[in-house]
Amino acid sequence: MFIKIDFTSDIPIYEQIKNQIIEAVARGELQNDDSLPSIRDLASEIGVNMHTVAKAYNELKDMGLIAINKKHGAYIAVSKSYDKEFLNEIIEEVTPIVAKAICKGMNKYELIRLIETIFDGFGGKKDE
Amino acid sequence: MSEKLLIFILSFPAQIFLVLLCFFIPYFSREYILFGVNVPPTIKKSEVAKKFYKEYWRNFALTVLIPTLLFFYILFESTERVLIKYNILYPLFVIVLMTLNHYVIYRKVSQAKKKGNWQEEKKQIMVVHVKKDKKRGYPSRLWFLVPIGMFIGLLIITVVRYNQLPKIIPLHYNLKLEVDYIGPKSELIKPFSVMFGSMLLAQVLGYFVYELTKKGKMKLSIYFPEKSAEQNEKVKNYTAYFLIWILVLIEFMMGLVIFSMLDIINIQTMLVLLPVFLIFPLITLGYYLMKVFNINSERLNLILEEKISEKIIDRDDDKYWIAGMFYYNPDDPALFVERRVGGFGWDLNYAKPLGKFIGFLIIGILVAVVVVSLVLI
Repeated sequence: MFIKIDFTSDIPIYEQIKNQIIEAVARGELQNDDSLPSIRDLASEIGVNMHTVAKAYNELKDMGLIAINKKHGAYIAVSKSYDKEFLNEIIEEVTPIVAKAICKGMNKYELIRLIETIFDGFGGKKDE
Repeated sequence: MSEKLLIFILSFPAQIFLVLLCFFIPYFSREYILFGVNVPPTIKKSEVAKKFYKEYWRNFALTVLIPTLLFFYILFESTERVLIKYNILYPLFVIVLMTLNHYVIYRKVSQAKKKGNWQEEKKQIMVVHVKKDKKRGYPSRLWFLVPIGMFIGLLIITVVRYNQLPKIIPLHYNLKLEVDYIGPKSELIKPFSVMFGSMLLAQVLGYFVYELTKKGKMKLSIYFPEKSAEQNEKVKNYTAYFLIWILVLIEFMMGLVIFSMLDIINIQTMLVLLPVFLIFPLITLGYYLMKVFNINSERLNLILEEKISEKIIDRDDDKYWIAGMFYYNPDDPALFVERRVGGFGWDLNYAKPLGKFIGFLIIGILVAVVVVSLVLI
């Protein structure tokens, strides 16, 4: 499983790491108990400061996607349940995207179809 | 003349090899590196790059000519002692001159890159492995038991045989291989300790490089990461087997010399066998370099035109490479990084205090070895 870091992108490196790990979990490429490189190892692979990787890992931990302990290092630990807080977060992130689509003249079905395509792209049966 | 001839026979293959190695050095770098400068693969395949190679080789021919002519002058006109001293200095001359040569071309490529805007409007990408498979095919540590076993065996044989030697023994031979100096056997202790010391040092260094190679980070190709990960593993495995084999050969060669000093084999046999054993490391090194070279050229060929048109290139990290050769990145926690020029291996991150320390230590040891051998001989 590889991640691509774009050094010319406006998206900060920590966010790129975070997003790609989330996507890999969604696609099933990373599964529960799969171990991730240590903060130090990943930072040295990319050649960036350890704080950058630590920030990505901490956010993933706060999201409940990974766990970090002293013995096993960082590993995937996903709990497949969501609460109100998570829903609010999603609403907050999706609202500007929906607004942007409306501004550009997309209709509801086009937007829904687009989301469906992306959703299905993460792997077969998840749209049941 | 015959002692000089022997020095010539023993040293010349290694020198030729060094010269050839310097000749091919620009080819031993990753697909996106041209004389230490990060360039798009299209440039590396282009006529522009060929121009730089030609210039390097022209300078190479000129710079290598002077020390080599001097070598032949000394071979015919000077004493053995001067010839031996020059044999120690020759590789240093060649390496320093080639580094300068490389640096000159590096400057030119750097300027051409700035002028030609080679990186313009391209995404600078880097690919990292996050879920690694176990190291496949990496040789076991147990292989080191072979050279270590040979070392211990040699040590035991030496101690036992030394006690059996008469008190006065032949210590030097003339050009016709007749004994011209006899003396107390205790005089053997000094060369023995130097030989066993260097064998031990070689083992420790070999093991250190083995561990380093296993853990060392290697960059993945952004165009074909999976294949590149596989190639990286291959290069690492070749390196580890190469290291172990070289250690075994060192033990063999030292063993021959020690056996002749202990009068287990006679000096003629040693003189016949030594060049034979000297050829093996060169063949092994040649084979190893060829394999790495093949992987490097395969990498370049694997980059398809369609991939390049995606307008992505490797991350431009030139600012972290002083003179295109020395890595200096205070943000990078890594102490060892993949070498930029001169083939496969590891370089230090000189921004780290330990990196600086090891760097100075290596230079110190090199200078000390050269000075001591020049003074002692």
